Amino acid sequence: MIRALVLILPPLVALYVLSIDASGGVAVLATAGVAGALAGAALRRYRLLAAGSALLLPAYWGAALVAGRGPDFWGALGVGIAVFLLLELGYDWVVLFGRAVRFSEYATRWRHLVRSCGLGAAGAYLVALLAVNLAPRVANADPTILFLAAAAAAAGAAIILVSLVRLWLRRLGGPTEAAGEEPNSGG
Amino acid sequence: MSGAPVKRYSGRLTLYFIITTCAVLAAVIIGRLEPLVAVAPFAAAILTALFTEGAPRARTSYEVTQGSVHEDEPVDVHIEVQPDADVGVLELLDPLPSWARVTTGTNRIVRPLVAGNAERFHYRVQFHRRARIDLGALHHRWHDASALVRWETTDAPRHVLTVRPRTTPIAHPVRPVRTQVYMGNYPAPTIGEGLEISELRPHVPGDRLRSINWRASLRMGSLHVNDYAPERNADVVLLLDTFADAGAPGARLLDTATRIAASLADHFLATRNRVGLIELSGILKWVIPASGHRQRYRLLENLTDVGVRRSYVGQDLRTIPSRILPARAFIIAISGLIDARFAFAAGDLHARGFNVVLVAMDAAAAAEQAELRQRRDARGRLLSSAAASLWRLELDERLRSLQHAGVPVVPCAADTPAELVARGIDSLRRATAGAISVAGRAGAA
Repeated sequence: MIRALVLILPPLVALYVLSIDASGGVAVLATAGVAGALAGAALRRYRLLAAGSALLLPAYWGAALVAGRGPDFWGALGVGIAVFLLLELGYDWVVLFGRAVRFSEYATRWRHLVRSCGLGAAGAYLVALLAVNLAPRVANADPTILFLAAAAAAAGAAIILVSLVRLWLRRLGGPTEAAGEEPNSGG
Repeated sequence: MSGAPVKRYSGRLTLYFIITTCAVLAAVIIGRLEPLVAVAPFAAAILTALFTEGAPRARTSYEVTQGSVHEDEPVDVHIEVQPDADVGVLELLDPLPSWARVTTGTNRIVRPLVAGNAERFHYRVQFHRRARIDLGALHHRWHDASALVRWETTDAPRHVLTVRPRTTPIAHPVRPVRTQVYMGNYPAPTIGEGLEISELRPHVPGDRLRSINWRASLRMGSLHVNDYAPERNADVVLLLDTFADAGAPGARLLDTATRIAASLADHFLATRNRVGLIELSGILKWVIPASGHRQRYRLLENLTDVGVRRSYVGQDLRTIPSRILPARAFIIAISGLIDARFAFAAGDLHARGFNVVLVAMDAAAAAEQAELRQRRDARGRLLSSAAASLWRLELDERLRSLQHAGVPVVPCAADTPAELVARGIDSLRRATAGAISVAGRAGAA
C-alpha cells in the first residue's frame, strides 16, 4: 500500500503542476522532482526521495507564478499535503522499515493508518484537480490520443489493483513486510 | 543507571524548516499566497514537534545467563522493555566489541511500543577472544509519534562478562623431568613407596618380605627384592612473554599464547601437578604454583587479563628472581621472541639449571597476516614485505642463538593445536632429560 502510494503520488503531483503550466523551467523542475522521488523510493534512499519530493514544491510555485491565474488555494493545499505525506510515509517505508520494524506491527498504528488514508485522499484530490484542469483540453483532443491515454490509465490502475490485492492477501496470511534484520552492528 | 534523556530533532525537521523558509521567501518575492498555503502542513509539523511532551519512560531489564565463558561459547542475552506510556518507535542497541558475532537474534532492535505491553528480546552472541566485556550499556532511542523528535539515553554497563581463553583437551601426557615431594602421577627418579618397579637388587637384611621378587630369586638362585619409584607431582611454570604482541585481532600472539597456556595448565592440573604463571614484561606478574580447581580458575582469570604491559621503571627487567620460581620447576616459556629481553630471560633460566622448553610462536607470520589485512596498496605491501623479511631474519637469529645455547624449542603457529605443542614439548623434554641429568651430576660433583 505504502509502496504503491509513494510511487504514484510524485507523478500525480507533477502532472497537476504541468497541467497548470508546462513551460521550460517548470517542466525541468517537475521532471527532476519525479525522477528523484521515484529513484529514492526504488533505491530506498530517503535523502534522494526527500530531495525529489521537495523539488515538486518550487515547480508548483513556478507554475502558479507563470500561469498568472487567480489564487489557487485548494490546489496549493493539495500539492502541499501530498508532498508532506510523501516525505512522512517515505520516511516510514525507507527508514523505519529499513531498521527492521515489523510491518505487521507498525501497520496497526493509528499514525500509519492516518497517513495512509491521508495520502490516498490527497491522491484522489489531486486526480480531481487534474481532471478539472484537463477537462477543457480533453474535450478538444484527438480520439486516438484519448484512447491511448485511457489504455495507459487502465493498465496503471490494473497494476495498482493487483499489487494492493497481493498485499492484502499476504497481510491476511501473516506479516507482510518484515524488513531484513540488520547485521551485527556492535563495535 | 542511565543518564537523562537528550532530546534531538530529526533531520526531517531541518528539511521542513528549510522548505517553510523558502516558501515564505517565495511568497514575498512572487507576491502570491500559494507557497504559504502549500507549506501549511510543514509548518504544522514543526509546531507539533516543538511542543511535544517530555521523554517517554520505560523500564528495561537486562539479563545475561552466564557470568563467564570461554572463547567461542554462546552467551544468551535477554532484554525486556516495559513502557509506562504509549510511545512511538523504540530503537535499542546493545553495543558489542568488534570480535563478537551474534548468532541468533540481533543486538539492535527497532519496535513500536504500546503502554503496558512488555516487549522481550533475546539474542545469542559468541566472543572470539578473551576479554572482560561490559555488557548492558544499552543505547535507547525513542521516536515520538511524529518521528520528528527523538530522545536518546545510554545506560551504564549492567554486566561484566569474563571471556576466558579457550582450552582444548590434551591427550598426550607431558612428563616433567624433575618431580617434587608431593604425591602425583610421575615416577620419581628416587626409591620409595610406589607402584612402578624402579630396579631389582639382591636382598639385604632389613628388606621387607613382601618386596621380594620370588620369580627373579628362583631364577638367580638368591633372594632379590624390587625397589619402587614413588609417584610424585611436578611444578610447572608457564612463562608468558608480554613484552610485545603482534597479529590480527583475534589471532594475536598473546591470544594464541594464552590458549596454549590455558590448555597446558588444564592438562597439568588434571594430573595433580602444581602450576604457576609468570608474565614477563615491563612489570613482572606471577601466580605462585599450586594445584586444584581454585588454582585453575586463578590461572584462567590471570590469563584473561594478559596483555602487553610497558613500564618506564623496569625497562631492564629480564631476569626472573629465584623467589618466584620453585626449585626443580619445569618451565614452559611461550613467546614470539619479539623482544630480546625475553630471549635473554629464557637463556638465563636455562643457564641457571632449570628445565626450560620454549614454545616459539611465529611472530613474523602473525604480523604479516595483520599487515595483509590492513594495507591494500601495492607500495605498502612492498615496503612491508621488505621490513618483514628483515624482521624475520632478526627473529630467526634470536631463535637460533637460543637453540645454540641448548634451549629446546617447539615451533608453533597461530593455528597449531595445543595437542601438537604438548607432543613437541614432551619429545624435547625426553631429548633434554639426559643432558639435564648430566649437567646436574656435574653440578653436584
